Amino acid sequence: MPFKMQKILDRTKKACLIIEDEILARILQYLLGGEGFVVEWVNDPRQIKDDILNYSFIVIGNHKGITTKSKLAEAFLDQIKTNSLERNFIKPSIVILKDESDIVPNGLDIISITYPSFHKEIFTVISNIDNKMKVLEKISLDNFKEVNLGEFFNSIRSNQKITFLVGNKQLKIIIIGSEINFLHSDFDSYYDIFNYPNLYVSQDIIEISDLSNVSNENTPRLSLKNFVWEGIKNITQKEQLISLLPKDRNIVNVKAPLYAAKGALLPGSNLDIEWLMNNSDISIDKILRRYNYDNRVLQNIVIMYMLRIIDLSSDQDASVKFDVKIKKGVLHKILDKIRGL
Amino acid sequence: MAIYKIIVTGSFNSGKTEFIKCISEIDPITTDKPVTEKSLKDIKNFTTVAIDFGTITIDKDIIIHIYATPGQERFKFIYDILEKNALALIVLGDITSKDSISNMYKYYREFMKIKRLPAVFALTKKDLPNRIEDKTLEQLLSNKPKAIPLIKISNKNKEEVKQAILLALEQLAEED
Repeated sequence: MPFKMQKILDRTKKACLIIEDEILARILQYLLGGEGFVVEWVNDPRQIKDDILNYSFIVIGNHKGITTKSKLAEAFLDQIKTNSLERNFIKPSIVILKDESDIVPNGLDIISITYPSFHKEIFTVISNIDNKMKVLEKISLDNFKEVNLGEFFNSIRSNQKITFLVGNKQLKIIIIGSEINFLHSDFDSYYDIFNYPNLYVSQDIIEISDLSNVSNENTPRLSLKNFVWEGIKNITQKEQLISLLPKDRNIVNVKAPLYAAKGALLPGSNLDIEWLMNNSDISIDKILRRYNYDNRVLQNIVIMYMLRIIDLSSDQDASVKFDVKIKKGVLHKILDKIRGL
Repeated sequence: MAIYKIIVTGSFNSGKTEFIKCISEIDPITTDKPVTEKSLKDIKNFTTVAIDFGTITIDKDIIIHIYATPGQERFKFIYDILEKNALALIVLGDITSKDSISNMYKYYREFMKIKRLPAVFALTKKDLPNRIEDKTLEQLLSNKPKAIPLIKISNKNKEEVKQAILLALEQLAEED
């Protein structure tokens, strides 16, 4: 095959990418490779190894060289123009990937296309998914535990940072004294968590950085009592209210002073708290029976339990079933010894 | 060596330290400090700030540790520490003090939340003239579960202190 012909065939297959963006370069390599091109990729025009005339397709994107895309294209065009009189010469096509700030002079034999950004957008989406997964991963590792909401409120103490988690929604609060400071919520309403008797929570100590949120006057805050009131007062389903109380613990004992117990009841409550205080170890069912199973009474029982006004205990507490493991022989040795002291 | 525990609890001035002194075979290790709360200072000058400790050796392999927990609310955390290998709970109440008696159930409940132990309610200082009459006692202890034995003792009388401990431990023996 004559030398000249060989060179022409070679040239028709070669493309040069002068692009710093590796992902874009790989995409173009893939596209051009699929069309039969041998693709060379450099991120600096000074790295181009072959004569520019031997490429039939040149793509100039953002690169590490010192000349602008337009100046580089002009330099290539000058070279092309000098050789264009030669027989059988096929002019290389030059494409500039144009940013908004790039000025590509009109009239030049250059194809200008908007700098592709779809790959960046796709990676932004992927990165967001990745971040969400990382957040979820972090959540799962951050001492979240599944709790019953009612029992959890009954157990919480002041001066804590608490995060409630339902699905991927979080409610972050700080309790200072008897006041709740709402730091963050993914829920439509703070009270939405009351719709989830079982959810995940994490408890942390308050850090100095949290105190700025607490002192910020724009941070929404509410008393613990009002929060529980608002959360419970709209629950009308008996089963939902019951699900906020511990299972198998239905004996009520008022442990707070009378004034605190009265103050915890929903406004307009018909529950006679003094009667309840005088009837220790009374079952929830007995209380509800007295009030004709009025849902408002059950609401108040749930509220009082969550606010630690009442204790709930098991019917079996007084029976002789103990959490003690001791061999009978050992026990009798102990009894005999004490009897003989 | 197996170590078991008997826990003695009750409100301030209910006689826990004396109770241990009466039954322990060693001089009890006490951590009494001057009372700082003004309201309590009129009642007694010293109170247990950490824990009182005594022992009863059963044989070379078994020993009983008796712990009296501080009466003040702020020391409730000690319950968590004591519950391991605990056999019984003795709840003391000062028979001359309505507050002390009405608080017995509260102390019982607090401990039972951590571990269900055989318990006895023991009213101390039964020899004092200003003891509360039975009818009032009944009202003050109305929330005491019926299965929990109630006994009046002098916490300086070894036989009566033994009786209180036995009443608690014998409940374990009654279990199937």
